[in-house]
Amino acid sequence: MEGSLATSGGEGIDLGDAARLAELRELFRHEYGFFKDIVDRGAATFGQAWIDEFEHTLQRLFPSKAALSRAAKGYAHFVMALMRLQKRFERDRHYLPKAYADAAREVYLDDDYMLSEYLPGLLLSHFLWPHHWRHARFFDVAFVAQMQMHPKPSFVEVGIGTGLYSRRLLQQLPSASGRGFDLSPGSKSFAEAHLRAFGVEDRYEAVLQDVLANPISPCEWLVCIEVLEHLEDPPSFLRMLRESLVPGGRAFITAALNLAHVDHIYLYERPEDVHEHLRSAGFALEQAFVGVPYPPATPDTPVPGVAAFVVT
Amino acid sequence: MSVDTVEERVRAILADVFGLEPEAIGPETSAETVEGWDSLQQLTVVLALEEEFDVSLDDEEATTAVTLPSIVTIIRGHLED
Repeated sequence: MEGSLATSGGEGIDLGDAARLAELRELFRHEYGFFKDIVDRGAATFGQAWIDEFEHTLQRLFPSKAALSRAAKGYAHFVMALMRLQKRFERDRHYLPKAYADAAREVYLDDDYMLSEYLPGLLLSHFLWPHHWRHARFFDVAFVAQMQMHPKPSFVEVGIGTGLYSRRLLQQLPSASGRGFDLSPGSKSFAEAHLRAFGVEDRYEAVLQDVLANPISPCEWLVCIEVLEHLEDPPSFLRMLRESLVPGGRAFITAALNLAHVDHIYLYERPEDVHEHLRSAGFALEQAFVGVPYPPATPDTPVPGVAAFVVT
Repeated sequence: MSVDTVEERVRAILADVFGLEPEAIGPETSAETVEGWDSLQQLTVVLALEEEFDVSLDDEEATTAVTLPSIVTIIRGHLED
């Protein structure tokens, strides 16, 4: 539930017992002052549930001051690099041309970059960017709640990234098990450490596999978070996903909109464009969510966003 | 280029971006203390610095250029290269 919290004098929002989150706020204030308000803004907008889950995640994944400091630095670099590209995108209205193989080499297969910047940045963005947090809540309400009605649900995640969504799923559904696919060794190791930190690794297998080259086996529950924009040909990828979904199966598929990034190739400008690709691949729409982090500077300025769909 | 000139030009950029008087900008001026110095304005500052001094800041510099002294140090480092 979204809600508001009181501030405590000049120190900002009272974060209660959330010591790691308070430490992250101090790191941002003193090292990256342009993020000085970002924790308070999240807490004020989303309330105690946001504080609790963010604190829990920071405790488990970044237990030392040094680890938290590295994550804050990774997030700062991640955001600044992204904003530079976004500025160019606002002017040119297209992403920088890039082949999937080049993105793989420059990003997904670069362990140092993935582990120091890309993955910590992405993980923190799911708490610090309002549309990412709302997207995660939509996942819970629209998808996980349905899985909960089934005994021992088994799921597949394509593009596990930080492992956040697989972890949240396993954490909320103690009888669930899953497999996650990613072509990035850095991603696989980060996600495995993530799941271990939450004690859910026994019910999960992370597989190093490029599903474009080796499609996945049939599954009943499918998760694919913000992968489509990384591809040259999302429609053919979606057809492969549709073929892997067994009759009666359900998928949670999302895409980033108007968000330039070092590895974003396919530009989705409108949620309808993603929906059309899903429909053409044979998926039927059940629920949808669209979120943006801020209003456009001018009516014509593209705003980054995310479109999420529960499809059958 | 003298240090003073670099500092004056950086002051002018910060004053312009944040709507402040150049004289009001001193060693204590930082993203932590200036209202409205958020990530979007940080990018504005970085791009203005790059244009003014014809330099390119890397990610580390772009995220640590958050006080008048740190910005001046970064720019001087580039100009001395």
